[in-house]
Amino acid sequence: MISPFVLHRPSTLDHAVSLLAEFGEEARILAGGTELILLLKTGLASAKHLIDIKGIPELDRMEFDEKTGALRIGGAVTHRRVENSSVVREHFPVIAKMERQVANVRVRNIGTIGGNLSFADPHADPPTLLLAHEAKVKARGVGGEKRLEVGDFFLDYYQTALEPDEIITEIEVPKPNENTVAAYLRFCPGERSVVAVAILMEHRDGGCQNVRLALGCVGPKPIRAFEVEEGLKNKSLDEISAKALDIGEQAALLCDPARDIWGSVEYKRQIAKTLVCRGLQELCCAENSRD
Amino acid sequence: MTNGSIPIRFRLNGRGYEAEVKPQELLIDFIRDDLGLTGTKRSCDMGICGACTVLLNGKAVSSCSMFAFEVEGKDLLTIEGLAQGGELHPLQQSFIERGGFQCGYCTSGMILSAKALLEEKPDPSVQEIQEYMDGNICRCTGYQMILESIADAARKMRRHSS
Repeated sequence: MISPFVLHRPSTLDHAVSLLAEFGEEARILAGGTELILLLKTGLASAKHLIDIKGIPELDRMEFDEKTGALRIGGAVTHRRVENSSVVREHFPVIAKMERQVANVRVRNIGTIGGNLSFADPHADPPTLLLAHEAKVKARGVGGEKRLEVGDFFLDYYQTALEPDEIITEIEVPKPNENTVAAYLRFCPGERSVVAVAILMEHRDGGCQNVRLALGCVGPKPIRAFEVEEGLKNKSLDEISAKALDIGEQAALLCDPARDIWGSVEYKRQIAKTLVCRGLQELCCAENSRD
Repeated sequence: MTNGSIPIRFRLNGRGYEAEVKPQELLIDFIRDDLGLTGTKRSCDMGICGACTVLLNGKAVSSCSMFAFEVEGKDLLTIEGLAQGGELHPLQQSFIERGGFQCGYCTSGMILSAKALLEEKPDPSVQEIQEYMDGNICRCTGYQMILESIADAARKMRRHSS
């Protein structure tokens, strides 16, 4: 049984923020609740006050900015909406494909992308791809608005840069450069991903102009493989494809997975190496698949 | 704002319904204990297995991982709400005819999830059925008969509507 709590249903962001500030550690945000309710049931979290933010219109908006090509997803937008959105499928198809893989359809119907990010589960799917996209996380607290790079948002296992009075209002995904192709690969034998790899590669004249490679679920937070990225700049696609396994090995050594029931450190690094290799080879052959 | 009972008004299996629930009461307990509708089953209690699936405004949700007050203003469909006037729904009929269940514990969740799928996609491919249903677990059947039951019901329902 979950302990009794007081339910608050603010209809404005300002009211929600002031409630969070007022009740501090005793309050939790309720959006989809797919993670929170599990925590409350198992006693891993407790709350005397739940602030239901589903009635706040601005958190439910999803917009594609025609001018800038950026995608803006409100904090309380469900995974299912992102997955099924025609605008996301057209302009950011790999994000739609990744969202499709989150948990199961029931979780996706109710769970939100803001909730996913704020929970900072090290085995979640969205963070890794959003990191490769260099997405921004916007939050509002009593002190005002905050705008963070995804890379600065995740601090540690289940820890983010959010203050107790802050709510994620929006995730902004900038338009990738022209001729950019993307891939999201993951190894998920059970419920949550054990290894995730996200790659965005900008092509130019048969070569790699720029690449962003993120490794997720293999450490306290997703990471960019900056050293590997530098090494791939201006290399030909043929060369990258031929050396993909070595590049994968180099990338895998950068991550710091935990040994658990899903595998040893060496096993997880082996999987990471394989996924990086496959992702690079897929993108080196991808001609017209844009993200 | 409230820690006492929350009044809720919603539609239950097609009919208007009013009740009062404590904020912390879970939907599955409201359905099974307060409403006495025990067709919805508690299994993993973590939202993974799908045995507790009900449809809220046509969308499949895990009732074990949702608060009862969330049904306010919405349409709740449990397995008991499928049969109309004593006649089984085509999905229920197909599951019987095609051997889509053994112990039956996952079946309510399977049928309701399939109903949500067929609303969205009346003519799904085998792959689409498989992918949509990948969040519902069965320990008995090995899934093949479940997939065939759903495909069979889809055919029945398409014939009926054309």
